[in-house]
Amino acid sequence: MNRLSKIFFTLSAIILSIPAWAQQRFPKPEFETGYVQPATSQTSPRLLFLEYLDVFVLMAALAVATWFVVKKRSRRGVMWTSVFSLLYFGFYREGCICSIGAIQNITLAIFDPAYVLPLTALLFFLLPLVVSLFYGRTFCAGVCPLGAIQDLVAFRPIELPKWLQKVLGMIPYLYLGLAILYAATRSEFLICRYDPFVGFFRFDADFQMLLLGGLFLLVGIFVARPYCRFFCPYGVLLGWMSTFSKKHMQITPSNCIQCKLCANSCPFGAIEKPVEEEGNRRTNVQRLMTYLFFIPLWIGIGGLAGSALHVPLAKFNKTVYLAEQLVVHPEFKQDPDHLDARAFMQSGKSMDTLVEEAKAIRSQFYWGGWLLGGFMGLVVGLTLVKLASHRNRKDYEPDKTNCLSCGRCMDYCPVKN
Amino acid sequence: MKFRKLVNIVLVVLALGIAIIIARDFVMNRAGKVIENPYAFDVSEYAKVSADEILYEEEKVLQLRVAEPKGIAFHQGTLFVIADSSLLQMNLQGQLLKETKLEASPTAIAVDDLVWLGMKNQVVCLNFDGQEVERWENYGDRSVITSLAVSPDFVFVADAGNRLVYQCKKNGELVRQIGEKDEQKAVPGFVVPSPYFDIALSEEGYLWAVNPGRHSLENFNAEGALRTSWTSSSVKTEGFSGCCNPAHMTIMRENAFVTSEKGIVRVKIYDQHGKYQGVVAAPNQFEEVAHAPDVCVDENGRVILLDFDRKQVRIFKPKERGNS
Repeated sequence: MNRLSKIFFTLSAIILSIPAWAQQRFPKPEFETGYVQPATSQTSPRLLFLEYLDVFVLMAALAVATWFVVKKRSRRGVMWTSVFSLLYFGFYREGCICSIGAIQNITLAIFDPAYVLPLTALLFFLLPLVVSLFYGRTFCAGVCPLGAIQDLVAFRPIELPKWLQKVLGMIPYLYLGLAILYAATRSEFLICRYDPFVGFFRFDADFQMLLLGGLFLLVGIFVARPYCRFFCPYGVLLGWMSTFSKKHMQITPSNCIQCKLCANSCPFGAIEKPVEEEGNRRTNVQRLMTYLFFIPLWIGIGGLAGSALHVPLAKFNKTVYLAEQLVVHPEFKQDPDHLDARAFMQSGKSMDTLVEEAKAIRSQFYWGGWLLGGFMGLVVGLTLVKLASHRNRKDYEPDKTNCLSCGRCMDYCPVKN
Repeated sequence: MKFRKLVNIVLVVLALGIAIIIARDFVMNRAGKVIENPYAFDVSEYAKVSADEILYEEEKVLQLRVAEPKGIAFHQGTLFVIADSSLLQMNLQGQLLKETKLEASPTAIAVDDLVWLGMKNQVVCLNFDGQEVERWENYGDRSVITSLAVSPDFVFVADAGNRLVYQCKKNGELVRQIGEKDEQKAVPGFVVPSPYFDIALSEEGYLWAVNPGRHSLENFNAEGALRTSWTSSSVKTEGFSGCCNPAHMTIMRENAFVTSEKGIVRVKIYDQHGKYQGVVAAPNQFEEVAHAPDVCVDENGRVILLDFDRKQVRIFKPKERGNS
């Protein structure tokens, strides 16, 4: 998986800066009046020391959250840390900069030589992953504002069926793959576009996005942290890191008395119950080998499907879409209301150039489709392998990949010393 | 169990809602999709005029056979139209009475017993037979004469290029410059961003000049000092908007003002105090993209417009009472 993750880190990049069009209001003044048109001014960037302050706050919040989880074993401490993060990274920083969206900055930096990756974006991307590699997903527990806002509304969490969790659990992988594909082809920043809570943080969003955020919060009343568990692409990366964490939080500080309280308290279904291998071991191993054997097949099928979808996927790239439109409807070039066509005509580019650019982008989608499909095939194959494999477990243990280190189980555990 | 079922149903509905919103937004608002221009400057609402406000109705249209009409004046039953490099004299039935070829394209016209023409930066005077009577010294390269007004003793020349009105004797001798910016006397001067700078004389012979950048009409006394003014700056029908309006103006009986605007093209009437009275011609009576028509009035209170885009002389008469 690590190799795969590296492959996908190295797939990347984005963006289409959408030119802003201004429309002539009234007939322009025609005389030289001596009036000097002021230069177009842009909002000053955030001061550099404030950018580093953000990184410092991130580090501090990570340290505090990790300390509360691993050392103090304090659910209350984690919760208040997450409230602080919600206020700082959410409402004060208005959801940006954010580790989740930084995936796209990294991708863009890899694929677009003209894009200069801000050090702060790199640190926001790396620091939670590094911490997760050693201590588990304490970032999710106490630092992520998106997680915090959902955690506050998890009033009546219910346990979803395992099969449904597995199926929905595929979505973040797909989302991650699509986000990287669209970033790498400079088509779209999907993660930012569909951040459901940024509208709340900024007190400004169109109705549709506010509705989306509201729906996520409503779902979050019954299904704890739905975005984190079934959408968050960064959660995929954190999960991978956390799987290898040596100092992940433990439910009980000493011996588990198997009271089951922890399993009942976890709203994320991220506590694995004690199991012993059932059935014939030889049969189990054969089944496992069969699933392992089929992984390349899953990858092939996925890749084929992904590549077959490259044409519709590429339609969401602005250049490809414009080229397709102008080829099919050349009259759009003269349509004054078709702003993209007008901008293209005014750019002085030829139709041939546009079509060539579109073909190049579509080709990127073709190979990106192979990789995305192959990746999804691998995910499906490994999920089946995991379902088929058995590991003897004597006590209740956190599922390191999916555990969000929120500390509820520790709080409920009657063994305190 | 009932509660759990209810929760399940709610969750399915909410999940569907999330899926629909994301899918709909992704497809509908895809990059490059033709969407409504969020930066569009839409003034169509302001171009609408209530029928109650329209005081005039179009009576007659005279089609001109010219390439580029430039200006219009009315004097004792005769229309004087400058167009291309010609001076046309017509009656109100559209019959061409006389056409005089000129050496250049005129930019302004006024008529008393003679025809006074502005030729970009020079004033030329013709008699009704088209023979040159006067030719004044030009006002320099910067000068752009946009309007002329004639009293029994003086000719007033509006120079948009220099933002001045020249009061001259009829032999061209300059009496004074009016409206010169003078910070010592707190005279702000004319703000003329483009060559739309019109003047007219009241019934008493006082000069009224448009200060288009300020959306004002300014009145000057016999010594050329500012006497009074009124301003009506608004994008609504009762005001003037844009960089330089009103573009054209004339004064009719009882010193009422007829104004013509560009941008949102419309012709309106204001009383002698600058109070909005109503509309002569609404924006929908002109081409979608049109120039402000030049205006003059006849002795019967009819408003005569020179429509630059349709190349027509359009005559509007007051609506009879009771007509809708």
